[in-house]
Amino acid sequence: MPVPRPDQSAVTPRRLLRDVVYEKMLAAVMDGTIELGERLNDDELVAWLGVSRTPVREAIAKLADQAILEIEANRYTRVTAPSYDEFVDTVEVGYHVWSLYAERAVPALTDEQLQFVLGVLDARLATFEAREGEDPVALDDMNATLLQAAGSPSLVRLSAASGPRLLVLVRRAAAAGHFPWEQAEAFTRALRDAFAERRADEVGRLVREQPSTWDDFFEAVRASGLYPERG
Amino acid sequence: MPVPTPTVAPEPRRLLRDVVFDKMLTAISDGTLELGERLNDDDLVAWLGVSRTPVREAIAKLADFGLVEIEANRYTRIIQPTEDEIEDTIRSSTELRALIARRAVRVMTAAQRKEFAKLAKEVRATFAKDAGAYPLEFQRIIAFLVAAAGSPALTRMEQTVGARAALMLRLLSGRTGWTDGDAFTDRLAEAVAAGDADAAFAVFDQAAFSDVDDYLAGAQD
Repeated sequence: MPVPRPDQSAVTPRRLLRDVVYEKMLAAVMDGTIELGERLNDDELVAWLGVSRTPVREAIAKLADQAILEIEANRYTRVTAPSYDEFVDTVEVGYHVWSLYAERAVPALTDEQLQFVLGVLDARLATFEAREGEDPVALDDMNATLLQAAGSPSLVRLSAASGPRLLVLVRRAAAAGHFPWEQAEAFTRALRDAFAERRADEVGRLVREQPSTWDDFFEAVRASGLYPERG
Repeated sequence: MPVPTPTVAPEPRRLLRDVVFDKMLTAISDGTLELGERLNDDDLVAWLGVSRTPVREAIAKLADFGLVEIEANRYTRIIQPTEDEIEDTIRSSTELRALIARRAVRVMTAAQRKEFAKLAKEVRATFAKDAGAYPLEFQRIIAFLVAAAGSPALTRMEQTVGARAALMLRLLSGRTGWTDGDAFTDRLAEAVAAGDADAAFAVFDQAAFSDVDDYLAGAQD
């Protein structure tokens, strides 16, 4: 009998099954396996994920609260298809929430955590300079570190409610060939320096103001019709 | 077998889990479900007259809203906030409200500005009669600003922490009344009347950074 290989997504003690399912579904929306606006059915999801209906419903509920999915009647679920205004709104609010916990984290980061953050930002800068997409796992780890240092359960909640949708919508635009490369480079460089010097105010300001430097990017996205304008 | 009497009837187009969520939220807010109280699926199913699934979905949402704690395979209970948690919630929700206020004032119509002036007057009048009423009146102000902001993202952010923040404020005000509710309302009314979005932001932002301890200290008098 073959030796079972350890499955990285296996439920470990105390890890809720609904969270494992949630992460799988989120990844599928981010990488386009599931498209924006696509309609999903409970039975299909149960078959794909190999779990019972309950954790699927719970994951759907969470993704619906994050406005990534919309629950419809009769066990159908639809991936949201935001308008252009909703896209801009998501970006502005998402970055503002990010600025709150990034700023709060600065004085509280241990030297080790700070080195980790700087490492992620350096790597991020390199990928942007090469006009390549950043490593989403590294960004997630960095933000998890910042949230932990910030020590605010409320900001964890606000981040969970705004971050995933922000990521999905920006990634989707990037997949369609739209991304503010120059601004991302400048931002990452300045942010790295601000963190290195432990300048909390500056970190907060840089993050908060990032969307306001994205006029060209927003215009390109608007013109593409990826997120349709609504009357 | 007795026919279960539905005590919760979903309105047209309203998901059952949302109806259950609202019922439980009310029960937490008014103390029917006590802080720290353990939740039992069977009891909830019996009380609400629904199946396990909407109950579990509502609980999951309450957990995301920071009103319920789930310890997998151990217990599910209503939160029992510590002083640190109260301070964190108030500080973070105030930072969020600053953003909401700025967006609201930026997009508000003249008619809405008038409406807000009227609301501010009502709040002050209620507060003058009953200082303990401020948390509830404050919620009316927040609700107005959230609606006026017209931002789906901000509305969702408010939903994430608002109920928890309201609960915390009620806990605090249970100990004493608020001393600076008038000044706060006045400053906000001024900013709205002037259409000054940045000033509206500052009213909340300054409250956030002028020592949250004041809130807690004021609650200890």
